[in-house]
Amino acid sequence: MSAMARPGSARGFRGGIVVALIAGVVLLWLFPIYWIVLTSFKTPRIINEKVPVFWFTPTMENYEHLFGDINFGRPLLNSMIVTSATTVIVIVLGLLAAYALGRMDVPGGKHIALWMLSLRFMPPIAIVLPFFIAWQRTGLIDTYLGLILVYVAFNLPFAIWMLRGFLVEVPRDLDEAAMLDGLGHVAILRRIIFPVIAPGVAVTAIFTFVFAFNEYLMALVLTSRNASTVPVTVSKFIQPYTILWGDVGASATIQLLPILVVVFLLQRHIMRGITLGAVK
Amino acid sequence: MAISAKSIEFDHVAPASAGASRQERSERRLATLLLLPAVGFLLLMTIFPTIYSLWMSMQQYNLSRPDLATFVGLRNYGQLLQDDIFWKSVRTTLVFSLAALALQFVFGFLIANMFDRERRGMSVLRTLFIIPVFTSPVALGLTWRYMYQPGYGLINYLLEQVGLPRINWLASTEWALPAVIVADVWQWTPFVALILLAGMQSISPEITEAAELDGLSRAQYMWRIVLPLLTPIIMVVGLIRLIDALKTFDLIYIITRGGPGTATYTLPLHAYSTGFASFLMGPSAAISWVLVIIVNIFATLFLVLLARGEK
Repeated sequence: MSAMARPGSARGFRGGIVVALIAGVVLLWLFPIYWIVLTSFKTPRIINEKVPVFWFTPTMENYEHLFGDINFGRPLLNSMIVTSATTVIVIVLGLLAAYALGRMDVPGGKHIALWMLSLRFMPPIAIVLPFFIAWQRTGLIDTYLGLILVYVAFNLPFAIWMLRGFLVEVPRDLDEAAMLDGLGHVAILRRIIFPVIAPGVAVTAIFTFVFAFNEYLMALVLTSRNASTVPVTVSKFIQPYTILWGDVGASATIQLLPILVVVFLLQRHIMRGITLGAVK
Repeated sequence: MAISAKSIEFDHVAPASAGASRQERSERRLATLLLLPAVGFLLLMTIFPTIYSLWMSMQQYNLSRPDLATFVGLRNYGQLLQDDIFWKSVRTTLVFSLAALALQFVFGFLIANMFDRERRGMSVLRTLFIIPVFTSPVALGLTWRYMYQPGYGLINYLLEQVGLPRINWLASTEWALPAVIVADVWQWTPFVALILLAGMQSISPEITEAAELDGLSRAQYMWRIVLPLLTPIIMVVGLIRLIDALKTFDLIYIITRGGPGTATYTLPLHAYSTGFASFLMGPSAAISWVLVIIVNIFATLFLVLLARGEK
């Protein structure tokens, strides 16, 4: 994208104002996040102050409580295990299928791709009950495997759609030339295609990871003591007569850290992923 | 247009020729082999629950006594039609989804318009702006709930500072739904804005230059040139957001639990509490199938648009 002029966007004074304006909008927009992070460092007394407190001596007591009494390490570990396994399986199965759909002649391939896309529209609430009953009968209830299976099913269609989009963009001449040079499918995939689509794979993996990590309804119904995930645990901070705001803040902050890191490391690719995956 | 066209092109759909060469046949076999795990798994994981929940919607079924399940045909659906709470939740679902969608597009368009300039620092701001999309609905739902607190919430404090009365947001039948809509708009406006921005930036410089030569103001340029050109993207993204809003459970459940009373009961929440709080599995499944039907209307529209964009 060159620095093209757009009507009413002359360089200079006005441009400076616009940037300041956008910066203002973005910072205001992110205020709730700043506020909850700030809360995580407040004592209960400051949290319940009628007049919002912006300056105070930060305390780590919420984090100590979170990892001590609440034992947040356990759900964090559960979430990491379930989400990592989901992501790996989704990417492996997704790459295989997307390669076939995007770069090979599959009879009815177009219909298969559309069918997969349509799966993304199924409301989770409509199928959570059958899974609950089936998992109860098969002993998959409250296990990692039970949740992983459901998460793979939920994320695979979108992942295939996205990966296929990235794969279609790699010119076909590339592999045809390689094929003439006597390279097989595996070698073409590894040496020619994969390097080109690696960022796309990373973005797809991140989307899968984030959406599985944040998923609430399925985890709420399908787990209880053993495999309870982070969102389920956090939702239990809402107690009959009070909400543990300090723990809410601390757990939200912990969840935010990896997101911040990833978003900044892969910012360009994420933008592309979002636009390509308009079909999230 | 960048978004729809690129991801939707179905190139190389081979005509099934009778005399396919050996190499073609072996390639097809390989393709089938590659597709098999994903397709097989998805078939297994979707067909069973779909049929099961449809079947369940025609049962009188109590979770604690599955042996007493009896087939009642469409009676659960018939009863829904006479249930005030059901109709109210249909209305609430539509109000929530359409209001959130409209606001996301209004804000999204305004913000995309601001971002659509080449300036230093823009990409950092854009990146920061994506963050809400990736945050957990449970965590951010609680964040909003904290800000909505009647006594020590920030929003009431600010209202008071500018001389407005305090509102007990989440306990008010009037304000609870708008409060939830605000949280959803907050999370998803960046997504809409960034996609619209990508669309704006894919408009060819010649068109922009011509507009400038014609002396169009920024507002005229947006209204007369950008908006019509972006219509396909707006349709695609609009339908996706609409469908996701119709399905929303986590955010609403965390902020209000559907309350006060039934003020923020949308269909997913209604189905959830009917099934998992009242243990009326048949009616719960029937409610979620009404949702499936509504979603399917928009999903079909979406797929038709996609198929057309492909030509």
